[in-house]
Amino acid sequence: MDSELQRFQLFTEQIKEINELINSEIHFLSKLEEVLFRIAGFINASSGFLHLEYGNKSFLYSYGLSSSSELQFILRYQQESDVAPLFISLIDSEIHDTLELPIKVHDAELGTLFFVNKETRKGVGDFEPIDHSLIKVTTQQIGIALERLDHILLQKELLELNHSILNSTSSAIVATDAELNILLANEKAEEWFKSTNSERLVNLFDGIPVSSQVRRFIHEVVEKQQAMAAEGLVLSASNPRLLKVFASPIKTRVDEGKDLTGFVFSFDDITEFNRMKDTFTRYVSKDVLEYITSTKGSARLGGTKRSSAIFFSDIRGFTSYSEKNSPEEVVETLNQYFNMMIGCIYEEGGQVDKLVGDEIMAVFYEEKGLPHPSVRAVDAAKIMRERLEMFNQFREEQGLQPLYFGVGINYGDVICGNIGSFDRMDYTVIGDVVNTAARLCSSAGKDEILISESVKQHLQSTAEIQVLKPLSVKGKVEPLQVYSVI
Amino acid sequence: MSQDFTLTSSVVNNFLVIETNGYININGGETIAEEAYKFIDQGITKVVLNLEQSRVVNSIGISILIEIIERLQEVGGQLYFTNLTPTIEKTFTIMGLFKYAQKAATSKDITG
Repeated sequence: MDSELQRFQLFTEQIKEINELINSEIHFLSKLEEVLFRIAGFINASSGFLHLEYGNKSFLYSYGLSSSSELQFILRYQQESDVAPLFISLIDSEIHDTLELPIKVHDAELGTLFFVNKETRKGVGDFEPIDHSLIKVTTQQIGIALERLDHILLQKELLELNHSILNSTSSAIVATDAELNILLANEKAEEWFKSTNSERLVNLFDGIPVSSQVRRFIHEVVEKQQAMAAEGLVLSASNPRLLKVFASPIKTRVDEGKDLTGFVFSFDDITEFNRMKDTFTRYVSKDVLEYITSTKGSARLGGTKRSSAIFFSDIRGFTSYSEKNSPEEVVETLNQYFNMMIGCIYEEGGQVDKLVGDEIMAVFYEEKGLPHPSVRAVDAAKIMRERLEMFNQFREEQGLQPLYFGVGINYGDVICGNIGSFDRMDYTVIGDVVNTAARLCSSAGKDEILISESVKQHLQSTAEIQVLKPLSVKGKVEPLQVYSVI
Repeated sequence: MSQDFTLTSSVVNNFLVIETNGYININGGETIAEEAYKFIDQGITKVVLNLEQSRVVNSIGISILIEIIERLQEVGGQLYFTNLTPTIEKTFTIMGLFKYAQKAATSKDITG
């Protein structure tokens, strides 16, 4: 009885030990050999092996074979579909009893614990139920540990995937708990928000050096507990980059209600973008800029039909003027002229489509709250004429030659969009309305503003309109009714 | 059984040092006992068992080791275990062997 009790105590002790071996660490696979030896020591098996195929790795541990048989076992086991018969074939003594149990994960057999012949002081005997129990418990524990390892590896894989996604973005991304303690930060966030005093990221609100603007935004998000965005915030005094910030609370369902568990912040550096945008507005109209930025670099060829007033102006006699003056003077004069004229177009809600030499091509689209495009285009032309007159007075005072321009305005449907090739495209307008406006401009005399019938129809007052003789223009069978704006 | 079990022995400063290689089961245990008793009969009372090359020990092997301890106790001697693998050291602890035998990291720690 004492002996049985001692054996039972030993059994429970071994279970505990094996349990600790398997469950104490994630890398328990490296402890499998020890598990095998521990069981062998308890059940007194003459020989045995533990075989496991997990992931793309094979584990094979054995004992009780002669050195040469052990070598053969290791070399041959990969070619054998069933490892146990191979093991038995390598034992040179009589097989009295065997004990075998599979190692399973979700009913899939991944390996085996196998033992041969139970030793006693009197010779070889049969394995006992307690031996069977120990092996059964062990194989089950290994199965559970493998299952857990599956989860751990999956979690690790997902975590790595998350990290690589987070780090592949140029945004700084920070996830916090409800108290704004940072739980996760990608590389960009670590670079921006690492406190000068600490290597670790602590609290988003008071643990890192950010500007009062950012701090206010964070405070507002916490207060409102809703998704918010802000643009143009300065990161910090020492790092004055401009940010576009998105924030969103993380809420999980707890029973029926929703509990706030934290926040996710995304900080985009828009310093360069803003600089580029500022520079860009000098080259393209605001509408075009908005279109380009909204397409996020994926602008495609193609267009849409829109009603608009097309405006053309050019300087009369500019060719001869440029021939008579130095290139520097011509460029300086042109710049002064354009600065003045383009402002007039913008004032009336028009967009400069392009500048070709001394020619300005502008488009006036229909805009809510603004007068009809024809009205705005004509008004712009009239303002331009007035300013040009003032400009000429100034030039005359300087002893410089005055400049005169001509304007042609037409109204109708145009095709606007990206026109060109895949490599080089212009956001512009095309169509007969555009061509006619250009022809009107060519026909205009000094400081003359010529408009088409379609433009005239939309003008509220015709008092300042002078009817001209119909004009024959290239590409038109019928002469065009043309009006001059006085 | 089929496994090769071998040992070497030497006497160092009146200590019998036995170095084992292989499974300490009934066969391994009896081989050790045979060697130890041979020297005990010649008057050796201190036996050092260097188990560096033995990775597995079973309870039959342990019971034979206990017999050696008892035999040494009869002559006022002592058994020492050295170079134990963690598995064997743990098994010996569970089996209570260190109540009657001593352990050391290496044989030289005992023999000097």
